[in-house]
Amino acid sequence: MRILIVEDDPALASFIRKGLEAEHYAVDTTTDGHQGRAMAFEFDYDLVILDLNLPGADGITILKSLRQVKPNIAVMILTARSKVEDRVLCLDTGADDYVVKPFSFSELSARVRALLRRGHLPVESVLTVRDLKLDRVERRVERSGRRIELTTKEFALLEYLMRNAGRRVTRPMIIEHVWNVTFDSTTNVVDVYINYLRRKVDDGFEQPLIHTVRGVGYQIGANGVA
Amino acid sequence: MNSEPSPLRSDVLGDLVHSLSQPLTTLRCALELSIGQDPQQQIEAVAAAIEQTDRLISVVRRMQKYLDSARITPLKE
Repeated sequence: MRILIVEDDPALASFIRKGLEAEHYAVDTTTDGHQGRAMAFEFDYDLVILDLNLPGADGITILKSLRQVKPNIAVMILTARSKVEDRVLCLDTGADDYVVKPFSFSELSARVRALLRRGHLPVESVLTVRDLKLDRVERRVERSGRRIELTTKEFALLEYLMRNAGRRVTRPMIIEHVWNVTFDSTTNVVDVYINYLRRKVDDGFEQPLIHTVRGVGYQIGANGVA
Repeated sequence: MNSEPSPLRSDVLGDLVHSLSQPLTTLRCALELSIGQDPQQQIEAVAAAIEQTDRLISVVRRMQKYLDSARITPLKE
């Protein structure tokens, strides 16, 4: 899952990013309102965490324009304003949640999970492709009942492939969702991680699940070139 | 007795809340995320926490200055 943080305080943005990355999200950050709006419009985020007081464009203006273009994207507002009128304005403008500073990271993280569960994403907590199961809540992967231990990135990659089971996903799509926009898309990191996953998910099984789609990228759960 | 703050005081308090909220949030998150991290990350978190504490100290000093000047020139209610 991919999250954009638009927060004018670089130190705070950095800590939120680190915390969310530790929870397996791909996270981009920006401290500028205009840039935040451009990134939210251009890339495919599951959630935008938006500060209200921003240089460039303010949070409410960004929220209004974002809602017109991407009505289904989840948006969480961060602000030091705690008045009821401010909260009503944010929610009426299209925010899905509202967190008042100062807050704890654990609260923010719980609200992120709740928002992402609420309907902007597939509701199932367990993704299944044939005998492969990935539990997004327990962060557990099994194939034919055998537990598979994955690193954070391997888990994120497998989750992305399984969310798109039966569909072809390109390397740039994988980079965009599993890593972040600052990542060098010319590296072979996707192929390297696909190999890691294959060793853990397919080795020892008669039927491989991860397929190479020549000239395109990868696909899980359908015929292709294994 | 009217307990409503004057518009001027509301502005000052609003700025104050914002000035305190930002570093307090960063401080809270930095300390929270340093738990269970490796030593290098803990050092970075403590450095960030000190920086945010300095921001808070600077806010308190500005408040002190404001209070000192308010004593000399009392605010009109």
